[in-house]
Amino acid sequence: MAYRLDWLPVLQASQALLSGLAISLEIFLISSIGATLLGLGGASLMLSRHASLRFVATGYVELMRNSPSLVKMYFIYFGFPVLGLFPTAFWSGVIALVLHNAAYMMDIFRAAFASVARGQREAAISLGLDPFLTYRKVLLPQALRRALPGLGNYWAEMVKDTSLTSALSVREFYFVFTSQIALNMRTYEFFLVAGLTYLLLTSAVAAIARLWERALARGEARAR
Amino acid sequence: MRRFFTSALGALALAALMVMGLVTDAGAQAPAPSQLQTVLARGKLIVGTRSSAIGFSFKDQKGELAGFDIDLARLLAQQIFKDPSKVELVVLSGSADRVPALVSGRVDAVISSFSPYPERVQVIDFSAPYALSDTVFVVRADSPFQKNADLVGKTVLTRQGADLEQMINGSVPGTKIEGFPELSDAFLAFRQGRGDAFFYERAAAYYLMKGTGGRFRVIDDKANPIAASGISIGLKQGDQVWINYINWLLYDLKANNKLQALHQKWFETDALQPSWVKQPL
Repeated sequence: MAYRLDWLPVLQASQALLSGLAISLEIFLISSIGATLLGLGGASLMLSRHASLRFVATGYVELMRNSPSLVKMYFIYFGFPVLGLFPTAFWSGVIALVLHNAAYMMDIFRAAFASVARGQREAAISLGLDPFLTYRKVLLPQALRRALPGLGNYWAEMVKDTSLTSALSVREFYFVFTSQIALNMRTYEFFLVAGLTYLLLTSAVAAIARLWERALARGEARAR
Repeated sequence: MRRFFTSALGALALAALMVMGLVTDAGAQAPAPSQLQTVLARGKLIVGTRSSAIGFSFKDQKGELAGFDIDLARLLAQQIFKDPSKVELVVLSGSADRVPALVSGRVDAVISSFSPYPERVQVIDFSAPYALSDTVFVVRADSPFQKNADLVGKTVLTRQGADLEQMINGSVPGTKIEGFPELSDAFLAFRQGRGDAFFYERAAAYYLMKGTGGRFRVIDDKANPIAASGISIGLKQGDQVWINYINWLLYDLKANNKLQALHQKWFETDALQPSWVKQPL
């Protein structure tokens, strides 16, 4: 006998699902902005003239990339109490996602800055721009455009990574729909809805990254 | 943007295909042969279970599956094939896998401390109950909590699931519930003082409290018991021949005192036997 889909349990849980979705979006926004800014700062260290700073930054990237973000979440949530610190589940998850993904973003930004022609910096300095303006007005816009395809991928990845925080009891989207399944066993219905929801979110994030990239490309074309 | 819409449309089409594939008009089909024939022809029983339900199905010190549910699966194989080894245990990764395992036909039965709530019985069928679920609150020994109602407004740590939340809210409304996918993580968080109480099956609670040196105790609140439920074997919906067969196997186990012996072995009490198991023949 075939399985009959029944959407009523999903409708009945819609309130809980929406509040879970709101928390997922909150985790995503805080952790993706945090990871991107940290990645941008870290990339400057990787390109620094000082070998010790480069060493620290490269060491950080290697350390972070060689362990799963879930392990970091556990480490923060269950490990810090040993030191007398009790971070909440929400912030343990967010901090782990920022630390983990920043490492990948550092590498993306490093490559992007390295690909900006050396002459650009020399020209800016010879025009009398100070180092900050050179960075802000000349190097950053060009590097950002080159970084955006990679960043967009990681942002989409981070949308999905928000579900990992459910392991620490955060009531985000994945937590809510798997909890509902535990009650009513409507696995197919909830997974279909959840899959489509994640697809819509990641598609939206990818679309925003593409639009931003295109806007920067137009700016660069005008400048030529 | 266009690419975004095409991919979203593609997903919707895929979903629609899955829906059509899953929902067919059962009335138009000839009655399918029972799972009983499939099992007999195959020569072995395939049982879905989990490895994280302490007391029921879990990994023992040797890393092997053990527990009430595992022994029950072997007893069923003994009854069907006169050989307790003619059972294949499929370890499901979580509670959400129990229904797809049945619906897709990957397993013949799910024996995994499975409680038949009204919501669940709309989706699959269940055997007669072979045990009762007995859930309790665990608190620190020096805490002031004596009754379940003392936990109103407190933080309770437990395994993740709206089923458990419904149970807790039913007996102690207004508690703050934090659920973890892994029961051991919930207990670890409780030990670290992240909540006032831990909530789960009594058998699992006693197992987790082993070796904690009397730091914790169970709240025994006979006046305000937590909603009871049975524990049954999960079976695909609509196969009445197979359901009847499994029920008669359970009856046979009771008649020969084997079900009662399992209760004694794993729970060391007959308090979790449903009344039909306790009754004389």
